Formats: sequence, structure tokens, C-alpha cells
Amino acid sequence: MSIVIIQLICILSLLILVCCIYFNIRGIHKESRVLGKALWELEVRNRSYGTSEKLELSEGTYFLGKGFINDITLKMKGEKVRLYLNVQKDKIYLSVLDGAVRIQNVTHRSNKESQIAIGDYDRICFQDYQLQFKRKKVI
Amino acid sequence: MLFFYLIYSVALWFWTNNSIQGYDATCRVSYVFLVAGFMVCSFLVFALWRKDKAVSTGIFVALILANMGASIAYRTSEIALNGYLEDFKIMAIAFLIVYVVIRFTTIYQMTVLNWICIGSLPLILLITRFTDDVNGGAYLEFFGLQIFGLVLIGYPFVAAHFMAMPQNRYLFKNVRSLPVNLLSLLSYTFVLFVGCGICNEFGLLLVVALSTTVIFFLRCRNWKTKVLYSVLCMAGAFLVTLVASHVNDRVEIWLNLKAAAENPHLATKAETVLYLFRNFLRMGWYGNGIGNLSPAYYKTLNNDHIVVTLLNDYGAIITILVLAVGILFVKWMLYEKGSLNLYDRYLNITCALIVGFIMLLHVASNLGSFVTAGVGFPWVSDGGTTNLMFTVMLAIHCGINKKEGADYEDFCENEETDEW
Repeated sequence: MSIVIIQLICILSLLILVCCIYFNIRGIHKESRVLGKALWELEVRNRSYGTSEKLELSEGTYFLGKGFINDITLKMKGEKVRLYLNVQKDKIYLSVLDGAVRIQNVTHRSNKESQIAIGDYDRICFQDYQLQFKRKKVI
Repeated sequence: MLFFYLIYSVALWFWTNNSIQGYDATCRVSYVFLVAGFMVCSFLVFALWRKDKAVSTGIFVALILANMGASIAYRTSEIALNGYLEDFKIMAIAFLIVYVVIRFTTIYQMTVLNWICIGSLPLILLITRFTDDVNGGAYLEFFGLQIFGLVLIGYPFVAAHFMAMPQNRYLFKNVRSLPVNLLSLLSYTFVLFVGCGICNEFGLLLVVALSTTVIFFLRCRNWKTKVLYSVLCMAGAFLVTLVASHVNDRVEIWLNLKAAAENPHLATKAETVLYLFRNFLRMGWYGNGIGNLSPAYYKTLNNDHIVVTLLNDYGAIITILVLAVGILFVKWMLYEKGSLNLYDRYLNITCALIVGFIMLLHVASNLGSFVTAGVGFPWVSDGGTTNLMFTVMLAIHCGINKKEGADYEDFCENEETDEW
């Protein structure tokens, strides 16, 4: 068999392999689009709209507020409220960047140096919103 | 996939073997043994992980590239082929050990081990510089292992350790500024830069810098800090270009190839880039035949100039396909299972970034469009420690994605009532 035919077989088989790899990788990327293990669940309720939404949070930091620059976007009227959430395995640390929030009947105003530890079922209220965090349990 | 892999292996072996004449029987047997070894590995992967494409696909990619590496080693010399055979045995053993450790244990996440790793990397660079005889660069070795690969094996664990630390402390106690763990990683990287500078190992510096930058941009949430970091990086790169003479030479070649070719000081270095441009059309889609490229033009045709060797000997089609396989490998490395913890996520992403940037630097430097970094292409290039590093990263990725993650479910007990 001449070298040219062998070369063509080599090229064709490599081309088919590239296609197989491409479709395999496309398949596995479709299977999972979740980034990281979800450790907490955040429930956001709005009294005026009467809506309730649930989000899953993995370890990391999130900005919550009005506008697309935040990771968690809320529709808000009146005073601007922006929160910084530092989600960790056992606790969530919340910092109020703008505005004020009420946690367990205590009002916390904007303070970039303060990190408020939030536990299971602690409620954070501001404007018409109520946020509640639930830790997911390891079985 | 297995079927086509076997056809590809046999066809490439037949093509290479028929193109290169004059080797003795021992060398020919060694090549057969190497290709047979790859085939046995492919059967094992197929038997063990046929249904788990998240694992098997990447190993098949590594075998495809290793097959091409064996062919290039065979066309280079008998010594290169025997070297590749020895490296393959070590790579197979390393893969098994690392895979088992990552898959079944969590000892690699232990703080003590990570701190030992953090301390070791700068020490390796320093000790090597003052004990090895060579001038520096990629040829510096620490107990027979090149520092480029050795430091990059440890670096993902360091990055993962810093990134998985609880992020409770911030610079100036302001949550909007840089977290202490990210600052620690940047400071540590700076220590490595100093080590790389002392060792004259700018390829390593570039890969570490690029990987850290992506991690930094992923993790840092303050745009002012990002802008400041970018400015500092550019200033640092400019300073290195002014201070390090051989980096300066490379930049000069990159900026003005024609002037560099006429400069007696740079002519030899520029020749490698010029050769490609002068002969590009002659190489064509199907190449000039295996063994055509002379080592007189490229002393490192089987490690630092793989793309040129592929273009000249194997043709543009094979080169494009090999590059496509490389890109797909990086995409595969970026896949991560949803149940990974923060340490494993950063370990995985750092490995993927390192592999990706090494490929990018290799292709860019071969095509003369970037500072010539002198780094190898995964498994295709000849280079024991570097290929060992790629194999370790492959094993890390496979081990992490086969790990049994703890299952989580909603904690529904004690659900409270709606109350405002």
C-alpha cells in the first residue's frame, strides 16, 4: 500500500476522532452547567408583587441589588439597597454596601467593614423584600 | 472511538515507519512496543470507562497526542524514541498513582501538605539555580526533573489552597477591596516570579502569570482593583523586557522580523521564524514527508518547534487536526462536576488554565506572532518532566470528576411559617 493512501487513512481517522471528541465534549458540558456544590438556598419574597423565588448558592461571593451589574438582581423602588454576600459552608457573611436592612429586628446601615454572620432561617428585610437562607444538609 | 483510534495508530505507525529508513531492528521494535502500549491503554480506558465520557474522552485525546509524539520522536532519532518510551512508562505509573490518590482520598487537600508545597516551590527554584551548572532557563533540573514541569505540578495545589481558604478578611477591612486569600496568592506568585527571574526561566514565569491573572479576574469582585492589577502587570512585563536581555531579543524579533534578520546578533534566532514564512507554501496541505525538516534549521524540532515540524513533515491538515485536538482537550479540562468543593474546583481550573496557556504559547511562538517562549506541546513534544506534568494534570482532572461527591438535599425540617 502506498504511503499516500496510508497518509489519507491517517488524516481521515484523525478527522473522525476530532468529530467524536467534539460531540462527546458537547454532551458532557450539556449534562452539567452547575458551578460548584450548592450549599445554601436563598428564598426571595416580595410583598408588593406577591412573588417568591428560590435560588441555590454555592461557595463564593455575590452582589445583590438593583441593576444588571449585580449577581442577584432585584426590582427596587426608593432607597438603593446593595448587599455583599460571602457564602461559606457553615455561614453566610452579609455586608450592607448601600442602604439599610433589618435582620431579626435589628437595623444595619451601610458599613463596608462590617460582616454580619447569617445562619439558618435568619430573615433579612428591606423595602418590600424578605430574604431567607436555608442551609442544605449533607446526607 | 476506539475503532478509529486503532486505525489512526496503525496508519500513523505505518506511515512513519515507511518514511524513515536506516534504523536498526531494536529501534523499530521499540516503536512497535510504544504504539502497542498506547493501544493497550486505549483498550483499558474503553473497558473501564466506556460509559463515562467525562473521563474517557480526555484520556483518548492524550493517547492521540502521545501517538503523534512517538511518531515525531521516531523521525528525530533513535535516542529520542527510546527517551519517549522510558517517559511513557513513567507517565503511565504517575497517572495511576495520582488518579488513585485524587479519586479515593482527600490527603492532597490537607493544609500541612499544601503548606509544604507552598514552601517547596520557591526553594526548588533557588536551590536549582545555585546547584545546577547550566546557564538557566528550561534546562535547569532539580534531581533530574526540569523545574518548568516540577513547579507547574505543584502550582495548582497552591492556587487551590489559597482560593479555598475562608474569605473573611479583606485589605483595609473593607469588603469591597482585595480579599486576603487572593492577596496571598498574588504575593506568592510574585515570590515565584523572583525565583523564575533568578533562574532565567521566563516560560514558567509567563505561564504562572497568565494562569494567576485569570484566577484573579475570576475571583476579584472590584473593578478598580482589576484595573490597577492590569496596569501593574503591563508595567512588570515592560520592566522584564528592558531588564532581561534574551526576552528583549525575542520582543525585537517579534516587533520587526525583517530588521532582526539583518541584525547579526539576532539573525540566528530570527531564522527559525523566517524559515516558516519562506517555506510555508512549499509545505502545503500534505507536507513534505516525515523526516524532511532538517535539525540544522531547528535544533529543537521535536520539542519547542512541534507546529513547524508538523507543518513541514505531516502537512497543514494534520497540523490543524492536532491543534483542534489540543483545543478540545482544554475544553474537556474545563468541565467540572456540579458537586465539587471549592478546592477541587480551583485545582481543576488551574490545571486547565496551565495546559491551555502552554498550548497557546507554543503555537504562538512557533508562528512567530508572539514572544518565543520555548515551551512544549502536550505529549507531542519530547520532554520527560513536561509530559509528566501534563499526565499528572490529566489524572487530577479524571480523579476529581470520578470522585463520589456527598449528596445534598433540601433541609426541609423545621420549616417556618410565612411571617413578616
